[in-house]
Amino acid sequence: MKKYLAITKIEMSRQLTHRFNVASYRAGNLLEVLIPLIIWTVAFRSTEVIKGYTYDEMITYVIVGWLILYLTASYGFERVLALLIYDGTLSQFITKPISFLRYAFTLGFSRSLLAIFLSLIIQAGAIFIAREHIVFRAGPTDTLMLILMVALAVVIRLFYSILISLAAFWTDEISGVDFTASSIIKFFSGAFFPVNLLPSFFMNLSRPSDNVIGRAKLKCHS
Amino acid sequence: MRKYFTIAKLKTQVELSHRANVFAYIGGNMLDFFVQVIIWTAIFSSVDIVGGYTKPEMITYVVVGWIFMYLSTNYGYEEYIKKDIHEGKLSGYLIKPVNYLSYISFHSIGRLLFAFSVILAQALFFIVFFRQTLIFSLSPAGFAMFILMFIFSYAIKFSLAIIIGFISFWAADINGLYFALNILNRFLSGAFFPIAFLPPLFAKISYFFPFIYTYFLPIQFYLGKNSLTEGMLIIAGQLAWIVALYLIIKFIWKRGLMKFEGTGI
Repeated sequence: MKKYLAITKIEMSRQLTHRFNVASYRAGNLLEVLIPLIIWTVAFRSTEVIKGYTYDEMITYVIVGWLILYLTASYGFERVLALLIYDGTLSQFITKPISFLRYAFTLGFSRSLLAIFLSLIIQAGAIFIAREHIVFRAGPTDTLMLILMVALAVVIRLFYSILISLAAFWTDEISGVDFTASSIIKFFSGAFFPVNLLPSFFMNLSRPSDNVIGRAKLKCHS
Repeated sequence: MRKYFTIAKLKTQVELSHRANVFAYIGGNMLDFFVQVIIWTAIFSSVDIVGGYTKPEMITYVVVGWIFMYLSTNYGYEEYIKKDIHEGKLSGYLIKPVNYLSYISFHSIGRLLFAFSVILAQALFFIVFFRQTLIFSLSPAGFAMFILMFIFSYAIKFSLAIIIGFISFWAADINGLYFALNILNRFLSGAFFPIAFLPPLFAKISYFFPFIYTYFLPIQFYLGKNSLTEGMLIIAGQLAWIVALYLIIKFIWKRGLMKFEGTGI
C-alpha cells in the first residue's frame, strides 16, 4: 500500500510543479461553464419554460452538472497511459513487483486531485454568483446518495480511461478514439444539455449505459 | 519551393497511413455539431426568435459555422511545434537550408488535405440533411468573398497556433494554455453562439481580437447580414490581422531562438 501512497505523493508534487498548466486548464473550464449559461440566459428571455425546465432549474443543471463533470473528469489520463505503452515504460511494470492496473488507478486518481481542488473553487464561485437561481431540493439522504454516485462515477471514469488507453496496444495513435469516446461520454451523460432534450430513441440509448454522471445530475432536481 | 511541396506531399502520405485515427475523429466532430443542433431545436420549440435569430438562421449559423470551423482548423499544430522545441528537433531545421516557418506551413497543408476531404464528406451530409432549413443567400461575388474569408481565417488560426506553440521556448508545458486559449478562441469567435448574445461591452471587446474574424463575421456575411462592401471590410480586417500576427511571430521567433537550448538532441 505504501508504494501506492508514494505514487500519489510524487504525482501531486509533479502537478504542483506544473501548476500554471493546471490553472490554465481551469481557466478554460470556467469559460466552458459560461457558454451554456449565456445560451440559456438569452433563450429564457423570451420564454419561461423550455422542455419542462424553468430558468432556475436550467442554471442549476448547468452549474451543478459541470461541477460533477469536473469531479469525474479524466484530465487526459488516456494519453498519459497510452504514452507508457508507446515509449516502452510499460516493460518496467512487468518486471517490477507492482500491478500496472493498480498503478494506473492510483496515478489517475492522484493526478486529478489538484484539478478537482481548483475546479471546486471555480464552481463554488459560480454557485455564489448564481446563488439566487440555484435550486437544491435534495434532502440529507439524497445528498449522501449524490456523493456516493459521484464517487462511483470517478471509478467508472477511471476505468473508461484505462480501457481507451489500452487501444494503444493495437494502434499507434489513440487521439481520435479518445476524442470521440470523450464526446460520446459527454453527450450521453447530459453534460451539454439535459438528456430529456434528446429524441426518445437516443434517450433510451443513454439509459442502459453506465453514465452515472448524467443520472447524478438529474438527481439534483428531483 | 519544390522542397516545400515535397514536405506537404510526404505529410499527406503520413496522414493517409494514420487514416484510422482521422476517421476516429468523425464521431466526436459530429457530436460536436449535434449538441448545438439539439440545444437550438429545443429552444426554438418554445420561442420563434432568439437574440434576433430565427430558427433557419440559427440552424444555418450552426451548419455553415461548423463546416467553416472544421475546414479552417489546423488540428493542434501548437502541440506539433511544442514537440519540435522540447525534443530538440528544431535544431535539425536550423542547420538545414530550410525556413522553419515555411516548413511548418507546408507541413500543415499536407496534414490538412486528408482531414479536409473527410470534413467535406460530412459537410455534404449535413447540407443534404438540413436542406429544407438552410439559407442559401450568397451571390457568386459573395460566395467568392466567402471562400477568401475562409482562406484568411485558416491563416489567422494557423498564425495563432504558431504563436502558442512558440511559447514552448519559455514554458515546459503549454497544453493547459492551449486548451484555455482554444476555448477563448471559440468563445470570442462566436463558435458556441452568436457574439450578439454577449453583453454589449463583451461584444465590443471581441472586435479587438482576431478570433471574431475566423467565425462570427464570415458567417454573418454568409447569412446576408452584411453587404458586399461590409464583406470587403471583413476581408481587410482579416488581412490586417494576418500581417500583425506575422510580425508577432517573427518577433517571438527571434526572441525564442535566443532562449532555445536544443534540449533533447
